[in-house]
Amino acid sequence: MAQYPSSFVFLELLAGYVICILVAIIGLVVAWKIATGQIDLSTLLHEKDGSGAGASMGRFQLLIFIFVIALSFFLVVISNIKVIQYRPGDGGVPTLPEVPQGVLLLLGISTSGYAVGKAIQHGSGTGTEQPGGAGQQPEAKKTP
Amino acid sequence: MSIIIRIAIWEGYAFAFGLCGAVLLQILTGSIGMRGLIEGRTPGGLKFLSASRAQLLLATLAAAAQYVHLAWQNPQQLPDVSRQWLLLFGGSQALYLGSKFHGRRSRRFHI
Repeated sequence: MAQYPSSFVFLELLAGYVICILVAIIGLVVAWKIATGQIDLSTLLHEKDGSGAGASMGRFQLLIFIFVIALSFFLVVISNIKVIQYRPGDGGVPTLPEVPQGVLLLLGISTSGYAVGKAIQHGSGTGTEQPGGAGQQPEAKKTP
Repeated sequence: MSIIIRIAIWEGYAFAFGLCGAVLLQILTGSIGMRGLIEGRTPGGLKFLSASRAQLLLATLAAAAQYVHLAWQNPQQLPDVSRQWLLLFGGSQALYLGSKFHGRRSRRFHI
């Protein structure tokens, strides 16, 4: 294993601590703003079509999958770091885990489902409940 | 070096689980509105229980629970999602979106 000069090791440690402090500050600011209501999450799941409808199923399923995949990814990263810590001779540098194709497909289905739902909601030519709405189909011209 | 790794790990835990916890807490306390999640509306404003929304909710929760179970069993790598689950979830999405489109087009209901 290569021996680095002590100044490099010090620089590495310093950079690590600076990044840790920076991430902690950002996390605390976000948490503080959520707690005090400056970041308003109350409409996180609301339909934004102005019709007074309730929670959006598309948004909810997207939220669930993003949280599930993100937390699983985080757990795998932590688990790999711990394995390398306990068995330093085996692996070397920890790398980010590979994301399987099925997971990408699942996220793709979820995201495109949300996007298509939005398109159906706001798309022209599909009709709206209100007369004169943006999505109302024009009447056919009467021939004399 | 192990101290800094430990700090980073705890920071990551706090940030990831804190964010999820904050959203979950607000959902449970009602700050994030979940009203009408499985409801649809008629053009007259009447609410009804939407089967297509309900089935998507069930498929979402089932797929998420199954994935969490797999990830918990083997945390060394991200588990793959099987073709059956992808078909189930994709079919459920297609059913929901098809129903939404049909209701919108025929102007009979809105989900």
